[in-house]
Amino acid sequence: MPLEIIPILALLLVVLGVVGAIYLLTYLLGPRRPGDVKLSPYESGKEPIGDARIRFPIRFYLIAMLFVLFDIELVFFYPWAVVYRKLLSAGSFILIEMVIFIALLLIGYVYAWKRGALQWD
Amino acid sequence: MGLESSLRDSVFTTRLDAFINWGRKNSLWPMPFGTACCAIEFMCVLGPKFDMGRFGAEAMRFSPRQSDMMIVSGRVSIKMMPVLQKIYRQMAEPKWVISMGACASTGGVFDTYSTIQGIDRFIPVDVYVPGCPPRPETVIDAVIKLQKKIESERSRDYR
Repeated sequence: MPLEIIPILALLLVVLGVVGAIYLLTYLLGPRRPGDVKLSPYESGKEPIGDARIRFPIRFYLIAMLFVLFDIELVFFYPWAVVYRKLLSAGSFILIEMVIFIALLLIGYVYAWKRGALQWD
Repeated sequence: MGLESSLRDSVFTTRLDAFINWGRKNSLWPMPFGTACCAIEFMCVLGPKFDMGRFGAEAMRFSPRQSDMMIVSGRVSIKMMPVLQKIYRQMAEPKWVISMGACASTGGVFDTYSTIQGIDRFIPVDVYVPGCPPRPETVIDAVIKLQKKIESERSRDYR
């Protein structure tokens, strides 16, 4: 066993010890008074209506997935926009690259649109 | 509760009380119940100028499961009282209540049929804060008073 692993093991032991001690202390010292009201779901003080696990349209997943996709695209825009002006003086490479990137995602967008992914009804 | 009930009043448990209370008083997690203008005033208590975090009470939690100091700021109507009561009952022990401002403590200027004339008619209150609305320093003073109160508590005394 390499010697370098000893600090990690020591850290692991300390972490387990501290967490275990905290759990044990809260178990021994913490008051517990369960009751009907206390164990009921927290709905900002209102009476809970129905179950939390309701059924909702599967379209939400599609919309969420598309959102993540195009959200990431937007994230790539920011660093690009920051260095755009500086790198444009060195040639139009940065512009062509981004146009290709947008075009690829635009194809996906048009495809999703045509297939009715953005259609709610 | 666990340990004290079996050990009675020995030196060990009294020192343990001091230790537990030290931990409790320095890590009060507020549960804001803001219904009116006092809540607006309460916001700046946590802001950088007054900074309740200096007293260990900056971890605001909007869930009764995670907080132990309820701060009722603002007038409470009869319709709202069951909500306040339910949230109070959903908080885990130990728990304390600060009644902030004249309206929460006494009904204030709202001497009407629809306003609760003091929340202590329905839930126990530990510290009352005068003012309409109270200055942030007054709220911090209330927290310090509550800390002094917690210091003198025995851990089996909690409500």
